[in-house]
Amino acid sequence: MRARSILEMMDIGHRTEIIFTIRVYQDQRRFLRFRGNRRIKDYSVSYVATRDLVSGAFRIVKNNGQRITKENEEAFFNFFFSANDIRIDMSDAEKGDYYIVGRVEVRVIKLIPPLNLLSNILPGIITRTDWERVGAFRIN
Amino acid sequence: MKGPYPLIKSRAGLLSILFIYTFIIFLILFLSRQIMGDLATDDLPARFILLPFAIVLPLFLAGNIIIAVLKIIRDTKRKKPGATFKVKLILFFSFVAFVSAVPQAVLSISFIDIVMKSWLVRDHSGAVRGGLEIAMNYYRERTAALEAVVDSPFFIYTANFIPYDQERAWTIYKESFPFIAGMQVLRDGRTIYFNGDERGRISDYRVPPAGRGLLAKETIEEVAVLRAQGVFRSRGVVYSVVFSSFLPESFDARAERLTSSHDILLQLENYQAVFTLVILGVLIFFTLPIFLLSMIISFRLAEEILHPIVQLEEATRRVAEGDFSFRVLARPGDNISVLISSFNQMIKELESSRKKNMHADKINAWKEIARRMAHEIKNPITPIKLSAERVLRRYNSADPNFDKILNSSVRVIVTEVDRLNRLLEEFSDFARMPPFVFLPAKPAEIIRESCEIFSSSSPGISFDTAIADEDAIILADNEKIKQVLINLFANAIDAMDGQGVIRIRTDKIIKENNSFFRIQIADTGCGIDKDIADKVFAPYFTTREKGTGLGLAIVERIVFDHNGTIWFETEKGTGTTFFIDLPFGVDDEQNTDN
Repeated sequence: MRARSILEMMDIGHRTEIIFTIRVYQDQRRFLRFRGNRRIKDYSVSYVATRDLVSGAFRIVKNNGQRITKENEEAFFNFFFSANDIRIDMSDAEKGDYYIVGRVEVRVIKLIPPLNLLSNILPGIITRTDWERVGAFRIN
Repeated sequence: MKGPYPLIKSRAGLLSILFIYTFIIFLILFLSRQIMGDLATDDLPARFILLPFAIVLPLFLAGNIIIAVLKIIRDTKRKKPGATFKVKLILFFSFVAFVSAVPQAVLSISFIDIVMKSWLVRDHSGAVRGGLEIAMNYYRERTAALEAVVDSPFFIYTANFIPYDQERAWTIYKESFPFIAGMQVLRDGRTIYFNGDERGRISDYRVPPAGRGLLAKETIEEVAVLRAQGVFRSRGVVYSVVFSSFLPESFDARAERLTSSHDILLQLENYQAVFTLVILGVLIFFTLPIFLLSMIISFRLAEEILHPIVQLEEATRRVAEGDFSFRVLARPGDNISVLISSFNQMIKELESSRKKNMHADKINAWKEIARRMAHEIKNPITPIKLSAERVLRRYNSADPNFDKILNSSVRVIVTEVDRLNRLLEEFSDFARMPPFVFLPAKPAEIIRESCEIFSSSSPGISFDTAIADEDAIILADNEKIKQVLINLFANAIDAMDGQGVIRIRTDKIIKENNSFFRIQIADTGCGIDKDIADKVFAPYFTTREKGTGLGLAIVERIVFDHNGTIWFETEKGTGTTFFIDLPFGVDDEQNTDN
């Protein structure tokens, strides 16, 4: 979903939600590979963005309830499209090779029930990327 | 009870579905807001439970209805008892359910549509847009005013006091611009002075060096703080002055609510047409299963209403066919159980009275047989006795013609004794008929062989035979059927005094889903009197001098033992036609193939 279309959707009164999901997998040893790699951690953070028509600012509500205001488009998109809040804690992890995959999902939320039923029939409301490998590390 | 519902077989099954459906509707209504919200967020069980439910349940019910409808169509085609009435009942119930559902749906959708168009969109949208415009103008004016402070020459002029007398500068600014709530002075990026409401204070790092104009709005304790930054240089040092101003308390929250209302209105406007369809979909989601359930209930009700009636009809038919052992079973609490028990009682009494009648008939029959036997035996005994007395009398009187008289008298005695013997043989045959041997037989061949017997002995008789199906096969005792035909032909020849045409016709007919081979034997004889028409099959009933009265009785018994029927139509002076219906007793396919 393009940034411009997100703005357009917000202009016609829709909220936009972005969900970042990060998963940490442990590479299995050779003889256990048939079992598939093991998912160790699962993190998710979501932001819901709206436009304040009075001040023109962008309001963002995080999944933990924190509210943030961005005055201009550049600041808004810089914040909206980055998941800086996710901290991967591997303090309890055992030795081994790990890798991280991530996925981003952007969707438009109808504000009021029962209009939200339309989200089941209107096309192009949800955009979801494939799982992408975003990094790997080793714990010795 | 075997109903037309292969999937929902019992009343308990139907009640279970009703209960589950009602329970789910209750849950949906109870949690409707949550579910509607969940549906939009895509990742909740609502989509995985409700949507399949919306599809699977109606499909399941529709499947039941389709099967039941197909069964009813089949029953109607087969003209099963009560099928037409059942169709009418089901159509009526379905119509009532449909008629009650449609106006509700139309009214609900119209109401929602009107509410959306007139109340929400037209009236509220004006108010919300007006309010929003006022808020935006107010905000613009306040920000413009604050920005104008740092843009004005007055700001630079007064700023000259700041490096050495900030208090004086603050007083001048405050008096000139009363809406200013605070002033913060930074030198080389560090705050050196602040005055006014503390909520207006801003952290040093958030003030851009050498920046000028409005800073980001901040909300502190539900108060929106506007800030404008001005910059001036004095003796080589850069000073930043940040003026703060407050919007009315809760301005931000109210503006957010206005924005939210405005967004909702925009959605209502944009999706009005689609939303009506969605409402229609929601209504169908709730009403379609109810409608289908009501149809299934109508099937079951029709079945419950008609089942005892059909059973009664079946019982009546069986009783009419002579089966008095049939009883209609009534379920406990059945509405017409009184009628059924009365009917069963009636059959019981009928059976009892029929047995009594049969017993009386049997006695009467034996009386009649004894009377007729006595009569038939008496007939030859009289000439025997007379002949014997005559011989004795002539012998005692030494009649010269004794030899001649003896000869004629003994001949009479022998003839009458032969007649007695024949009478007894036929009686014996009738009483002890040998067991039947049922084998596939071709009626066409039997008819032809029977006709040939008479072609030489009765030259005045001709047979006009038209056989519909030469290769038809029935399961019958070949010899016995031949005996039936010979007896009927003999009677016909007697009725026509040995001159005339006997017409034989055959046909395949269907009575109550059973196939029969019909033989018609028509003569052009004197016909049968109506007075004696009901006695012709009775044993020892005859109109002929030399008849034994057992011929037609034997015919009737043979046909009866073949599970067939025999009857006749007669017209005095015109002739008589006998009809014999014999069941095929073998597969119709075999006859079709043949």
